[in-house]
Amino acid sequence: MTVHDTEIAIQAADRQDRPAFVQIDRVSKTYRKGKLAVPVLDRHSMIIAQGDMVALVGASGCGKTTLLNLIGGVDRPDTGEITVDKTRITSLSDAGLTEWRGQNVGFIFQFYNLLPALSAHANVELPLLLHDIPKAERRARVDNALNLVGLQDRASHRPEELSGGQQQRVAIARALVTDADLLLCDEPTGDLDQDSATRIMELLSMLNQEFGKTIVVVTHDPLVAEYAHRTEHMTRPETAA
Amino acid sequence: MRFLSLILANASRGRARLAFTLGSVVVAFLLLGLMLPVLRVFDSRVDFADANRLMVLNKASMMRPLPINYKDRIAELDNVEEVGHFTFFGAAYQSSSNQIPAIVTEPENFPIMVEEVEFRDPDALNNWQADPSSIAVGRDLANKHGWKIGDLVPLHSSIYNRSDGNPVWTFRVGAIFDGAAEDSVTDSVVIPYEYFNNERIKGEDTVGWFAVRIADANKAEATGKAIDVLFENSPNETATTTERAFAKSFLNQVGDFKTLIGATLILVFWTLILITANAQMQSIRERFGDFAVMRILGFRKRHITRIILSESLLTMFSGGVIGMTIAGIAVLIVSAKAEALLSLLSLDWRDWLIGAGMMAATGVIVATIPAILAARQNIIDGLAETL
Repeated sequence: MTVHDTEIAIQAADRQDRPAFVQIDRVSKTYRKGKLAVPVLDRHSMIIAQGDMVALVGASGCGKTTLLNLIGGVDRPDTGEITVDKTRITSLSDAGLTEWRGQNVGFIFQFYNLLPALSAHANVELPLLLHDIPKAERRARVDNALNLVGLQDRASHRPEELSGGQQQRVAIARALVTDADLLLCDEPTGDLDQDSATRIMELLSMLNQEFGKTIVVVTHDPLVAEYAHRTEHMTRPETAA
Repeated sequence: MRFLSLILANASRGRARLAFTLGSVVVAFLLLGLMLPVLRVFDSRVDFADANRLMVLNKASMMRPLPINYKDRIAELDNVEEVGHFTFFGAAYQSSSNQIPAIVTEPENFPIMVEEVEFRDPDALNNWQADPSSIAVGRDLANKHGWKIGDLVPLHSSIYNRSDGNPVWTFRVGAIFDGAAEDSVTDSVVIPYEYFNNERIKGEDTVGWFAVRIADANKAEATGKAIDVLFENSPNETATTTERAFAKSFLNQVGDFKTLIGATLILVFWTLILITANAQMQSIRERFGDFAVMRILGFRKRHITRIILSESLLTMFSGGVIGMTIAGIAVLIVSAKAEALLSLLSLDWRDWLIGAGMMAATGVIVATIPAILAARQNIIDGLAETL
């Protein structure tokens, strides 16, 4: 870590009086479309404190979702380093990164991304199948997660039998069931009406305040950003041929 | 087992496609289950043939006879224990379409040369051997026509006429023989050579072929060669082979039946693999988004591969077991109603073992490409599929 980044980290920690949880150090990412190089992140640095709730906002194509994917270990940066809860995830192997992701990160997507063939209960149970957890305990943990999002009575329903807001709450339950400390939300209210969006954001806010989850939300919606402790405004780097 | 519910749920996702895929698997294994017993029956005819018996045929053609006096000269060779001879009679009973397997031989050494049959009534055997105009009849054939010892049976020969020009030969049933083994076919007639030779209008003192029992099967080739050398440059040169080799070559001559069935099976399975691989690939392709989500949730590539492989094997074994069970029932019905060779049909553990092997192999082959595609899939691209 550089001196400059250390200063940022100290300032952020001082401001929020919380230890740094996610440290992004001069991360760059460029996508290639044929001969065209499209830079989406250019030496981007950022600190997110433990228990923080951060909104990533900015114009389309500015790299919000890319940054979220990099923090979650879904994608790898071209250069730079990312450390989450003292684990330098950019140094992990593919298999190591997958295992880390499954244990430490909960993902919530705009279009919920539930498996259509599975019931709400089975969708929430999915991440637990990777761990050596007895069936009774798995059931208890899934029931708890569904209770927390208020969907215990919809456990046997398939996604197609649920409203958008309910599907998103199932997705949140799936993100919570492994007790991950970091929740990454990509436009979590983007496909919902106002009331459902409000319920989802109140739920995320509750998870942040009562359970201490660190939450990063990508959004275009200023109302959603209002729930965050702070907002990170992102800009698009120059496109190079 | 943790993924079982996931695998079953995925399998039921596209029910119409699953039904068609399963249907094609059922049909393929039904065919396999029907063909394997047929192939084995043909093989059993080859196995039935004795490696300790040589067949001495006319080198020019198996339809051309050999002089009977070859018998004594063959008998003098090393490694030869017993020599018998046989001649096709070409018999039909009552109508020309009702063909009956009938051979002409010497009754006195028939039980020695042909160990696959047994005479349970020694008196009947003695009577048959004592009466040159009597025949020995297999149990299956006697039961079929209701023949009893002492009955007179007129047989029409398509090859040999009697000395008065009549092709109809009337014999008395002297003995009835049974099979020594459970699967022996006893649907033939054995005619004494001496009577036949005296009564026929042509071909006197010739036989169809010689059967030579040898002491050491390991020396079969050398003994066969010695026989052929013995009659080299004579008007009737011989070609000697083991019965087993002859049985195989004979089956090959009658249309190479096994190759035909084998080729059909390969084609059917190739089609099956194409159909199921196509369905499987479509199914996997539709679920690239799901797999991307699973990868994000912590599923490794090997987990995804295992799920795809399990789905494929589940499809193959479900369809395969149904198909082979139907085949087993069909084979039971056919063998109960059929006669002769087809009555030996049965779908036994060997067929199930082959079937299970084919199900496993096909399952793996079908899953390979989709599994590779899914494992190579980029998570970000996979997520884009869900939009």
